[in-house]
Amino acid sequence: MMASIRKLFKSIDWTIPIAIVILMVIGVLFIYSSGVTSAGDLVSTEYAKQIVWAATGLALLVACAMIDLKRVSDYIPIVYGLSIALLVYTMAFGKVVNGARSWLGIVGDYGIQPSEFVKITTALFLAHYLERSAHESSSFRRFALSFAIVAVPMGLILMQPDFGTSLVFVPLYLSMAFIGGINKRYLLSFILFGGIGVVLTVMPLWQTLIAAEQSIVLRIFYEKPYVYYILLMLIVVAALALLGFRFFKKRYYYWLAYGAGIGTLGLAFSLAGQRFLKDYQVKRLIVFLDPSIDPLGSGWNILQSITAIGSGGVAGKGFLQGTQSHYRYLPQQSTDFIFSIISEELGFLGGIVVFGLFFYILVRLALSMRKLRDVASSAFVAGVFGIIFFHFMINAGMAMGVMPITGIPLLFLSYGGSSLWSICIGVGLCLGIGARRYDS
Amino acid sequence: MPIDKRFIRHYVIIAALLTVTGATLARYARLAVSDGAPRPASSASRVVSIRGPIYDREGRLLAVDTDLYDVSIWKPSFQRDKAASFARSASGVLGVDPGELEGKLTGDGPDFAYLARRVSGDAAEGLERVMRDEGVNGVRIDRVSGRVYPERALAAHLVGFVGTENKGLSGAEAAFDSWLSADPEESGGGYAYGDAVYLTIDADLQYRLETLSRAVLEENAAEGLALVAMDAKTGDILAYVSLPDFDPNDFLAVDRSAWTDRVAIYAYEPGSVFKVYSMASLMALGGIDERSRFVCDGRYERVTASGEEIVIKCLGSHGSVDVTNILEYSCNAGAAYASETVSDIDFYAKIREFGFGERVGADLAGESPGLMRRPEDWSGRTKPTMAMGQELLVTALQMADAATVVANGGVLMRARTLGRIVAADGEVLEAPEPIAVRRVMGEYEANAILRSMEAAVLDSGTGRRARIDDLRMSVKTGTAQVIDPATRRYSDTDFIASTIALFPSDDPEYIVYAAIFNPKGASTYGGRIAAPFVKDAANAIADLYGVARSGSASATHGGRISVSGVDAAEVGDAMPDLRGLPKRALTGLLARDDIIVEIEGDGWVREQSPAPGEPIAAGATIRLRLE
Repeated sequence: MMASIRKLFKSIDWTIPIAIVILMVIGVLFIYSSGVTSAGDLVSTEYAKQIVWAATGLALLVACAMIDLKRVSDYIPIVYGLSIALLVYTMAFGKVVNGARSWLGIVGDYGIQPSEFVKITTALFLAHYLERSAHESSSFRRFALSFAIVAVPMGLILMQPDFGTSLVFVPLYLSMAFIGGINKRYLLSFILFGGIGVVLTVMPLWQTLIAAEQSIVLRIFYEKPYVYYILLMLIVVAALALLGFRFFKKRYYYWLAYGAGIGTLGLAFSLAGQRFLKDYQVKRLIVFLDPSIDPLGSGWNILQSITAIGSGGVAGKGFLQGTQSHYRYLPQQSTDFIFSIISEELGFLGGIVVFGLFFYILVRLALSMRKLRDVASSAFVAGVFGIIFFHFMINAGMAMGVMPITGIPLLFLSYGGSSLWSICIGVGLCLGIGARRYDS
Repeated sequence: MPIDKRFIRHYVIIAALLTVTGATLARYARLAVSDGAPRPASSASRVVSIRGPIYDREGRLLAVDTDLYDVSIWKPSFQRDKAASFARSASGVLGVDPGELEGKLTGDGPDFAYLARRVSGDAAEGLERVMRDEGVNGVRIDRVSGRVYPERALAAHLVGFVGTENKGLSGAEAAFDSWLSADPEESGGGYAYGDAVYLTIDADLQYRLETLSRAVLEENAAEGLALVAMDAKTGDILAYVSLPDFDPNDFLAVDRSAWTDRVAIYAYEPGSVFKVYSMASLMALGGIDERSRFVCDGRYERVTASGEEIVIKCLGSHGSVDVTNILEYSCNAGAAYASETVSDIDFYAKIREFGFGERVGADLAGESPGLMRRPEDWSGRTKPTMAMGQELLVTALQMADAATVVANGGVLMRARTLGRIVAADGEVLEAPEPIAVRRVMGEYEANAILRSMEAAVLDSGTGRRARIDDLRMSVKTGTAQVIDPATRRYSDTDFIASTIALFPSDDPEYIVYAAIFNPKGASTYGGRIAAPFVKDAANAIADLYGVARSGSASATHGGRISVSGVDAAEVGDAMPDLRGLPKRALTGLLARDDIIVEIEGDGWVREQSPAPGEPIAAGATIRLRLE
């Protein structure tokens, strides 16, 4: 037993945990910084809590690296089921924080956000399914079922409503399905459909708020009744093309039906989106394109964050010397906008260090996939890769004003126990997978 | 190098990672390193925005920004254990409920919250003391500029009010918001000033007419009242009275119905005053002239081509009437018969030319265009009825403005409320000239109407109660019926009593129009309640602006006046009452050798010893304290 553990420890890629520890230290430092007011008073004890989270997170990481997923694979569907049940329970009895019913209180002020952990359990179950279905004959059935595995938790989280966290499931699914060998055409359809849907959903507000000149041509895509004519037209085209393909078997008809079908679904999706999303929600999504349309409202965070990054310059103002943060111009500085404080106080060079560490972790994970021989392992690593990649890009991009404000944390750095624990579990499992790659 | 097919998907993933990271990094470098990165106006140095003031035509202050304070809480910095005691001591200073305050300090919700907004400097100072005593953190006091209306309700509907962000919500505050509001980006920092707006109203006249109006409103138990006084030559609105009104300093305290602008927004059927414009239209169209006569036998009767019989009752049997008689007696039948001389479309077009059915454009935040139905929607009754001022909706502003046609020899002047706009540095940015909108009728016809209106103040005229003996006035009164929204018929109890006056008649300089809405007093007739009201208003204007009064001996003197000197104080055997005398008057006493006078202070005598009436002996001491 001890010998096998020693052997396992030797084969673990320890550089990843080291990078994580450096990120955690930076995180604690700047959570401390965010709790200091302009007068120099420390008004928040978040940094102390974060030390606890980080230490326990590391312990979890190491513990999870011990787990041999192959031995527990029978329990994975149960874990997934339990985590979904927990989400449902949270929806009914959870605590409302920042407008979303996403918290379960445990003791006193401490609580967990089940949605963070569901990301990992979903990745586990999806990997499990992709492995089991690798020889499934119907590629569509495999696509649909794998998508359903992700869609259930995603929908539940969307209902909390926690838009940012639910979005993470999109890259999680795409990267896992891609590595797991789902038919590329389905994935491409999924991306096109989602892309068209999102663009058309935000189009009306984008036209009125941001576009310098409103395009009359584009208006037919969202203004009633023209949009219904377009929809009807697309449906008719798709139907005719399908019939054409059925009788003449020409590729031409196939692609026509494919395009028209995607267009129909995307347009229908945008109509639904416009119905369910409130104007202010859409505005928050697109305000990064031009924060000046609402400098005191939705654009405030972006403008203040950009100011912080710009005022940090190359070398930064020095630890605890930032004005944007200590004068409290930056909102949610210990969570969503921690990257802005780091940039202000450590400058571009400090930001590069953070970039480098994340990049290192991601590259190591991506490279480790190649050595894995089974679908479940590589798909799970791809899922964790997708989570980290998405979190980092969206969060850093949000701080720079190139990504929509979705309120998702910068993993390892932002204050918060649930997201930190869940990603530590995820990375730990990946390390274990990597270390056992030669076991039969 | 051959690519291993098994790993194509892995390469795609790594390529995606490289691309996205590279792009984000490029953006990051551009933001952090280059100077050209978009930097918003530095938020650390706050610019205090001072909204421009609003003045009347003479530069009397109607609205001004002053320093007020917002009190906010940043919960993470605040010591929760001190919430209760702080709430207790702060509530007294801020004048809010301690429980509510504590709720704001400790409640859930965002970390930042306002505890009180727009509190005075005294309250802010008091709060600072409390904060020091209690030693709390996280409570912040920010200076903001707040709007104050020193004349309170004066011309409230015209001046308007602002919301908490100092944004104009109604009246001139809204109409000229872009001028009044300061642009923080333009100033170099520190203070940004908005432009000053000078209105055409005269605060002095406005006050006098508002005082009159309030009395009339109360006396007649009316629902509302509108009064417009304007300069007939330029279209300048001199007074703009809308009752009930409100104090813009505390505009939320009143019922919202008080916000209704009865001058420019409230639209109603004008009644007989409108006969001035209908008769003027008929004359302008050549349908009637001064010599045209119609027979009033107490009713107007006509059978249309479709066989419909139209009957309109008149208030009396006026016999053979000309234009002057129609206006003098307010003869409905005469007006109705006169309207038959022109076609519907011509009549409609001419009345539109007087400005009815369209917004006046008097620089207001909101205006109603009234309502004039198009001739194709008219019934057989419409034209004769409209000639008597029913079946159309007008605003008081339109009624007053249309009178400029009669006053100016047929030319309509646009009513104006904006005098000029002056930048903070004194530069005049806008100074609109009077606008002649259009010629509506010939000069001869306009003057004929003006003369005819003079007849109304004769003893036989409906406007006799508006007569001022030494001032020639052209007057028309009216009592309009009001549709009861419940029954959709003319109400038996609700009326609008109104009167218009132009004076002096030979070349009118001023126009006064008053409408009393739903009076419930002793009388509801325009001739009985609105006419004397307009008379008082006209008197006030004539007094204030020195309108030459015919027949009255206007005082002449050499231009030199003498002010009698102050009586010197004298003390005889008994002590006089010296209280209230200026120090100068006491010099005589100081010259006296027989009494001693001790003076303390400057100004006027406030206290004296001995008391008045007490005997004074030689050598006595008189002590006087001045203030």
